[in-house]
Amino acid sequence: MRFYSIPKEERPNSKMARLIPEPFVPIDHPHAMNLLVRLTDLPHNQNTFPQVNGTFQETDELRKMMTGRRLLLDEITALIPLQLIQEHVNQGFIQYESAMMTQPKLTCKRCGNQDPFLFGKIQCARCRQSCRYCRACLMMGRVSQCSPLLTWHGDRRPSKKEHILGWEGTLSPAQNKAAEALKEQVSDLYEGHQEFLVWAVCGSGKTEMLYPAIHKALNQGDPVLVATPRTDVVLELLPRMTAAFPNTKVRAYYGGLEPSERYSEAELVIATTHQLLRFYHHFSLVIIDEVDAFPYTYDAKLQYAVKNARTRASLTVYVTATPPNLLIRQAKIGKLPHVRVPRRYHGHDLPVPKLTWAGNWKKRLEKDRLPFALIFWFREQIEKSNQVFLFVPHIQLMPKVVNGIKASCQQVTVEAVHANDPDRREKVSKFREGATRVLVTTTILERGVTVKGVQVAVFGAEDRIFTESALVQIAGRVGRSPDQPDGDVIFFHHGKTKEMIKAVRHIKLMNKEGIR
Amino acid sequence: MTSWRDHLSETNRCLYCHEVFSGEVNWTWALGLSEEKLLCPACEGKLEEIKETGCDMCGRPVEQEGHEFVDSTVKRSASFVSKPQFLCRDCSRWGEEDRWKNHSLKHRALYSYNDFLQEVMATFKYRGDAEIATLFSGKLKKLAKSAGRIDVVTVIPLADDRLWERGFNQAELLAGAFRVRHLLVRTVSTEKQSKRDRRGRMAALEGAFRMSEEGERLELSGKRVLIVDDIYTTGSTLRSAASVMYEAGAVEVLAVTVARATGKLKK
Ligand SMILES: [Zn+2]
Ligand SMILES: [Zn+2]
Ligand SMILES: [Zn+2]
Ligand SMILES: [Zn+2]
Repeated sequence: MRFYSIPKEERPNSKMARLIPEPFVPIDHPHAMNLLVRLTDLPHNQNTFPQVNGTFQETDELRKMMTGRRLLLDEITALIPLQLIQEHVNQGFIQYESAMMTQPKLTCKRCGNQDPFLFGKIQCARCRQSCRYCRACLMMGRVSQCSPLLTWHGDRRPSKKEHILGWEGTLSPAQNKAAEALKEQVSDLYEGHQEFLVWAVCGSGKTEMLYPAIHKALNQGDPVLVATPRTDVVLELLPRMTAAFPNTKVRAYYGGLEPSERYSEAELVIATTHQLLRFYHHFSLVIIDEVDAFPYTYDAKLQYAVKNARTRASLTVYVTATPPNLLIRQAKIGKLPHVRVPRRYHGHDLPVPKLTWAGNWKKRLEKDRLPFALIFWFREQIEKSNQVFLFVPHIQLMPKVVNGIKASCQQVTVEAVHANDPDRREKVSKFREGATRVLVTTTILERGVTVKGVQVAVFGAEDRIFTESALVQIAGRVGRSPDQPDGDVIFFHHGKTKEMIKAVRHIKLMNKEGIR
Repeated sequence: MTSWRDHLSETNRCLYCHEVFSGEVNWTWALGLSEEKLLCPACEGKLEEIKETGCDMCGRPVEQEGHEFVDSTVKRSASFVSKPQFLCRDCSRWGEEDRWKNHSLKHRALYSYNDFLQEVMATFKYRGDAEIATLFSGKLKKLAKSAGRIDVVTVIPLADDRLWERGFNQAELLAGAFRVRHLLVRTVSTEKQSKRDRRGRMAALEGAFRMSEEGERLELSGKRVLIVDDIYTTGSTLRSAASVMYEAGAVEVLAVTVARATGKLKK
């Protein structure tokens, strides 16, 4: 969309917006058609907008859709006529801004992309000139040089609603300590930007620890965001959060929602990285729940999205079993307030991984054969009727590993699954039900996969993909049930790596601290 | 523009999934003997190139089993043939219509319209990732070579509202390796194709196009015209466009597309 930017001398009535979208420029206007511009080509500070007109009755639908969000014009016009949008612009409720920056570096303002590979260029039918677009966030609607972003400027009505905490379980002493520390932080959400780290081992019951803080923020009238890189986690958290906050508008946003659900009003939001990009300066409490995700990186994308989604004065909470080094360092020097939960909720130690030499497994695998050490371990597990998670470094290895297992343990039921497997849900639930004995996989599938008595092996643990935190997360699959708090974690390798050793040290340290 | 040095580096990024892959870019590429790899091996492997066709006319792929129109024992060339002999039932039916008795519409596509290509085309057309066109534009030009002499290349135009919505005409980008003339304009905006049955679709497309000003100016008589488009489903859109050009005197109209949809997928 192009705009006509009205010069000052033509605007005696300063209440009018300076920008008129192309479809509303009168055809008989003397020069307007020649002066149509894209917002990316206008100096930003020129775009003055009227003050909010308090007497204007805004449209409910627009307010609900746009409060706390920054949306592409196309997303809104798909549901609401441009005429009505422009009326709200003229009344000060909505403002336009460019969705891209071309200087000093080509940047997508919605997703923060600056990678030249992830920009495309077309001869655009809308702005009738060469027009660059962002390829990194296409699935949210295309950001281009001529596509404006819209923000809502109507007053936020302070909510006096009393939110109920419907969760009735009890927290373990360690959980309780963390929950209280976190809740304490929520008291002063209004003093600049703050951060807090909850460093909790896998299986410590992280979600429950968050409830008191979320509850408190909601009752202060603050919208709360739980952000996570994975759709799985969003889907798993939604029913739990909905049950915990029965009279709160809890909404989950992930790819594939219908527009009617995508822009709904919410008080407690659970969202994936991409969906987060639709929110703008809205949340005072942001919880980044990376929980057992692997491979995990608090990647630049999520960081950018969180920065945009939170209000200027807000609290960002990182909940993780394996904090990135930067956070650990900041915690250690006292720059980052934090709390550690080194003990599982059932009170038992974390199983410590064992390192087992597997020889040149690549060579054996070429002939569809597994290393002897792994075969022996497998047979032992099968005799004990145990279920096994087998992690492999690359998807390409999976068929050969499956063949190898079948060749050495004939009667065993084995399935391979990877992150983008279309049958992933089915395969995981079959494993969960016990119908599959061995699950070969490249990533931790769903953190909800807490199969009682499951044993874990990492095959080719020396691969670069198995970092300390990945290995710690993988080890965290074992012994989550209070009935069976122990089990095997074996790293089968062809040469020990620093990462393996660091992972073992990490787990031992957590166990030691847990005793105190 | 990236330099040749960048291309010779060890890693490339896949145009579709954006993943890094080690490109087998080597001296053959530098000497222009091989094509630059734009897709990673995983994505490349999911494309089904049409190597044999089951019909000399519409170029439907031969591989689908149990398809009533196709005699799977007959395998025809994947490139254009000058004298079509074996026709599938769809094409025979077209040939019975008066205006197609003396005209033909030979068509060839690069790939079968399988699930993966449907995703790729959706990213290209609906999500608007115009860069995807570079995957196919060069290959379409190559495919058209077997058609012999071509005098004019054109594309199916989009309706105005559709063009505004997308920002570009996907067919025009696919024809990027040709010099494109805009011979046609749309007369009526047609409803979404998939909503109609074959007869309804044909009726709707009757008179969907007329010659543009540029088309009028360009003398078509005696010319061989190539239409470039994205997907061939029933061929009715292409035939509707071709009939306008035959009326204007074209001696032959042919078509190339990226994807050949078959009955199997559209059900
Ligand atoms: Zn972007
Ligand atoms: Zn544009
Ligand atoms: Zn790829
Ligand atoms: Zn045919």
